[in-house]
Amino acid sequence: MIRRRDNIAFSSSLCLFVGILFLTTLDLAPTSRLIPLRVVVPTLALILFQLLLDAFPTLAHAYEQREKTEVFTLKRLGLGSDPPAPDQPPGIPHRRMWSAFSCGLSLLVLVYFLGFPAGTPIFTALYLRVRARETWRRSLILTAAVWILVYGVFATALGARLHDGRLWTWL
Amino acid sequence: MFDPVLSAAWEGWVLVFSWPNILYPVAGTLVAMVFAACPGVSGVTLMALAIPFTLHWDPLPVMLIFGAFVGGATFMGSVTAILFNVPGSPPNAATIFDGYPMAQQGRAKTAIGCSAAASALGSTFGIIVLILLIPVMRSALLAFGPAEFLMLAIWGLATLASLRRGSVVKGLAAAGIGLLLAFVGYDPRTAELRYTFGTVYLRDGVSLVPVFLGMFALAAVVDLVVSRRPTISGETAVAELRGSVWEGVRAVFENFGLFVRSSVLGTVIGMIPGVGGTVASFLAYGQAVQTAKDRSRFGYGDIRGVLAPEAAHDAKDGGSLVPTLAFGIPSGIATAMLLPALTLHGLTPGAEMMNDRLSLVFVLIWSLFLSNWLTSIVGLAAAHPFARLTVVRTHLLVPFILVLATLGAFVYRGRFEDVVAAYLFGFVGYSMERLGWPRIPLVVALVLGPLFERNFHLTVRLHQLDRINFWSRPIAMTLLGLTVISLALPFIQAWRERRVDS
Repeated sequence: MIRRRDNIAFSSSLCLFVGILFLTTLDLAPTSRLIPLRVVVPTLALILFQLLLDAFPTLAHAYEQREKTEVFTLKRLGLGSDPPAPDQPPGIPHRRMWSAFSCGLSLLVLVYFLGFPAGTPIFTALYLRVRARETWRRSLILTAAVWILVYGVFATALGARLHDGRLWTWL
Repeated sequence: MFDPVLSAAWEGWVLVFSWPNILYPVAGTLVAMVFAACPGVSGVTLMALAIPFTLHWDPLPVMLIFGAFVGGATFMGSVTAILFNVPGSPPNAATIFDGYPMAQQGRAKTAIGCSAAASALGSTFGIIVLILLIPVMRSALLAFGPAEFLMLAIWGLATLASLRRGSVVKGLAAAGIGLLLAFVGYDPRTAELRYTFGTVYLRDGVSLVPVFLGMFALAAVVDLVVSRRPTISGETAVAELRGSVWEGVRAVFENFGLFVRSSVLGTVIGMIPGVGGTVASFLAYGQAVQTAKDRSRFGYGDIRGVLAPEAAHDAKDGGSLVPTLAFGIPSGIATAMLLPALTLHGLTPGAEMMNDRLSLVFVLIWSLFLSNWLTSIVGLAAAHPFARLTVVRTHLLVPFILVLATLGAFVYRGRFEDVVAAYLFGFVGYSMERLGWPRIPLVVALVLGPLFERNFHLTVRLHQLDRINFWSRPIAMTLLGLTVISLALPFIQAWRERRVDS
C-alpha cells in the first residue's frame, strides 16, 4: 500500500515536472521547440500511462506478474537487490530515508557556511561520534584523514579552489 | 604504404622504452592513477594543470607524459565505481551498474580483475586498430554523416530504455526526461534559452558530473543508511570475500566475443568526433545486454556488465587519436586537452605530423599503450587491498563518500550550485532506484542529447535540401533496424515467456 502510494506520488511529480516543461516548450520560438516538442509530448504520454498503471493496479497486473517472476528468479540465483522487506514496520524506511537526506543536507549547510576545509571535518566528526557512535579516538583519526584529503590533497597539492564559506565572507 | 609506418613505429618504440625516457610515462601513469581515483578530478584536470608546467619541455617528453595521462586515468576511475558506486570519471558510470552490485555480493576482486584485464586488452585492441588505420584513416571517417550519428544516438537510447529491469514504459519515459534535461540551456541553432526558468546557472545546461554523482554516489549513500547494511558487501567477512582476481581475468577470455564487440564499438566511437568515452562505454553496456542470452542478471552483478564498458572505454583511447592526429579534430575532452599541448610545442596535427613527425606520433601511441598496461598491472596487484574496503563498516564509509561526492561536484566547475544539483539528483536517483524506474536511460539520454539534437537538425535540413536521402544510407538503415529490434525484443520475449508458462 505504501509502495503504491509512493509510486503514485513519484509518477505524479514527474507528470507535473514534464507538464511544466511542456507548457514552457509551447512558449518557445518554432525553431527552438522543434525537437523538444517531439520529445516532451511522448514523454508526458508515457508518464501519464505509468501513472494510470500505478493508480489502477488491475491495469498493471501483467506488469506486476512479470516483476514478481523476475524478483523470484533473481532471489533463487542469489542475486539482485533486496525486495522491500514485508515484516518491516512501514514507517521505518521512510524515517531512515529522511534521516539520510538530513545528514546530506547538514553537510551541505556546513560547507556552505564554513567552507570545505572547516565544514567537512566538523561533519565527519559529528557523524562518526553522534550518529555512528564510534569512539572519540577513531572519530578523530578519520576526521583527520578527511581533513588531509580535503585540505592536503585537493586544496594544497592539486590547487583546487574550494568554497570558502559564507560565514568567513560576512565576518 | 606500410613501410614508413613500420619503421616509424619501431623508432617510436625505441624512444619510449629507452632510459631515461621511460621514466616519463611511468611517472605520468602513476600521477594520473591518483588523480583518476578522486571523483570529480579526472585525467582531464591533470592535463589542464600540466600544460603550463610543460611549456618549456621538448616535444618528446611532452608526448611521453601526455600519452601516459590519457591512458593512466582510464582504468582507475572504474575502481572507485566498483567499490563505492562513485565513478572516477563520467565514462566509468557504466561500470557501476554491475560492478557495484558485484562488490555488494563480496566479489569486488573479480570485478576489479575483469576491469583491469578488459582495460589492458581493450586498449591494446584500440592501439592495434589505430596503427592499422593510420594509412587509411580518411575514408573510414567519411562514411559517418549526420544521419548515421543521429541513428547511433537513437539506437543507443532505445537499447538502454528497453533493458529488462523495470518496464519499457518507465525506461522510455526516463530516456525522454534525460533528453529534456539535455535541452536545458541555449538552443544551438537560435541561441534562445530553453527550460532555464530565469536562472543563470541553467544557461550552461545540466552538467553531467553532478547528475552522475547524485544519481549514483549520493543515492548509494542513502541506500546504505536506509538498508542498515553493515558493510558494502553485507555480512561478508574479509575471509569470505568470494571470487578472485583471476576469475575476473578469465571472464574476459570466456566472453571473448563480447570483448571483441565492445572493443570494436569503443574504437569506432572513439574515432567519431565529439562522442567520447561516456557514449562508448554506455553503448557497449547496451549491446552487452542486447546480445546476451540471459539478460536477467544485468544490473544485479553480471560480470559482462563490467567487461563491456571497460573494454570499450579503453579501446576508445586508440580510436580517439585517429581524428585528433589526422585532422586535428578532438573526439573527446581528453584529446581536446591534448591538442593545445601539441600545438604549443610546434606539433600541428594533420598531414605534416602524419608524414614528417610520424615517429613522435608513435611515441604518443606507445606511451598510451605502456600506461594502460601499467595501470592494469598495478590494479591487479592491488585488487585485494581494494576489495577489503568493501568489508569496512558502512558507518565509516558514509561520511567519506558524502564528502568525496560533495567535493567532486564542487571541484568540477567551482560552483556551489553543482553541489545542490547533485543532492537534488541524489534524491531523484534514490527514488527511481527504490520505485523500479531505471536510471540508466536517463543519464545516457543526457549524454547523447546534444549529439541527438545537432544531428537531427542537420539530417532534417540536408534531407529537405535533397543533399542526402536518409532512406538510402545503409549504415543509418542498419542502425534503424537495430533500433526497431531493440524496442520489440522485450515484448517478443514477454510473449514467448507467457507461451512457455501456459
